[in-house]
Amino acid sequence: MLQSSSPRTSHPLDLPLPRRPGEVSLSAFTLLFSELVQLHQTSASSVSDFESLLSKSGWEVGSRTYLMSSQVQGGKNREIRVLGVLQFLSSTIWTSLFNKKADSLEKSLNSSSEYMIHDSNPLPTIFCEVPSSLSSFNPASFVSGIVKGALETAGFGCEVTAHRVDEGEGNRTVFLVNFCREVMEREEAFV
Amino acid sequence: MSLVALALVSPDNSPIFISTYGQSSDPPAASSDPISDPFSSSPSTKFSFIIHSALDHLSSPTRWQTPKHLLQTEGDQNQQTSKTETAKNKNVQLGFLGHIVPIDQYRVYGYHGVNGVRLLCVIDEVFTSTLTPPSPIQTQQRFERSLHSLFYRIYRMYLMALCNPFHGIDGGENFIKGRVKDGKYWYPKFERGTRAIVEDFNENGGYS
Repeated sequence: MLQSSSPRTSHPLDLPLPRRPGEVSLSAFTLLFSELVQLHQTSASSVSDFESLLSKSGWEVGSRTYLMSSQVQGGKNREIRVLGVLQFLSSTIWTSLFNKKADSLEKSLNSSSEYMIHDSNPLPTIFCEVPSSLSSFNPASFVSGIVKGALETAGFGCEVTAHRVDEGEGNRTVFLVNFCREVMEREEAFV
Repeated sequence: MSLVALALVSPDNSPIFISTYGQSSDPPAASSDPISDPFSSSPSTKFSFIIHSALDHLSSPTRWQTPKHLLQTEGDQNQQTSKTETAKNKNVQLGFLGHIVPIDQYRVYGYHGVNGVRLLCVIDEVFTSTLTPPSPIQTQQRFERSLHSLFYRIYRMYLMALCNPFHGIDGGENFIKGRVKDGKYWYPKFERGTRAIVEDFNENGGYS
């Protein structure tokens, strides 16, 4: 999305968000993602280790995406409420990364600190098919890393996990965001 | 007036980057006693002290708002929306914070980034109006606006440094959160770029 700056063109951060985001070709990104997954697969010792390594890579993507998105929008608004930052994430950041908005954002009924982001087919994992030897592994942990990175950089400590909703062929994923206690206490102080 | 020191502070108040510019104009006193004159030590220690004091002001419980005269002429595209948005988020520290605190003969100005990173700069000498201004206050406001553009350039330089993928290999998370590995800062491009910006600023006496 970022173009290399030359003396003639303006600074990348000054350009408005492109009307058609997703200028990176899907093939190029998929190749890169496949190499990333394979790299982590060789260096990981267990399935949970594999997921956490992938999540860590996603963390860095999410963190930088949050900074860039809020800067390109003029840097006028810093999200300080939980709902505000989640809406910014599911609309603006999702659009700038995956060219679509997240399907839905829900608050969990079980716990006050849990929120869920639904996505019918997360972009990095559209070609993923997990081998049966790694049945408990979820490649969408890359996207949950992105979510975690964006939220933590915005100042909301949280844990994010990806869960696949079993629908046979479909790849519907739910990202469960669990904010830490400090964030919830801070949120209550607002009301 | 010249910019003598610049610091980048992470959200949890640890320094990411501190740098001083120009030579220190204070010659070491002949009878410098460390107890009576704590500033006789190296200039960077003195500026670290000043910056810490300014940080205390920023994180004080009293609310902090960007001064009104800086809100109106921020020089960004969305000037109409900026007023309504800042009205919504009155209690949010964001963007150019303006003058924070005067210490000795220095003044400290600040800028707050979106992820909680703060840019603080120390300006030397009390503002002296040598030009023929309409009024001293307006000249100072013009100076502060040019400082705002300086901060904006340095903050964008920092964002560009963050995008360096090599910072992700060995502690990218630490870089973004502002933690330092072994006390070493490895951002040569950022250092060169900010040095160029600051020297340009000092030579022109402010952009205005």
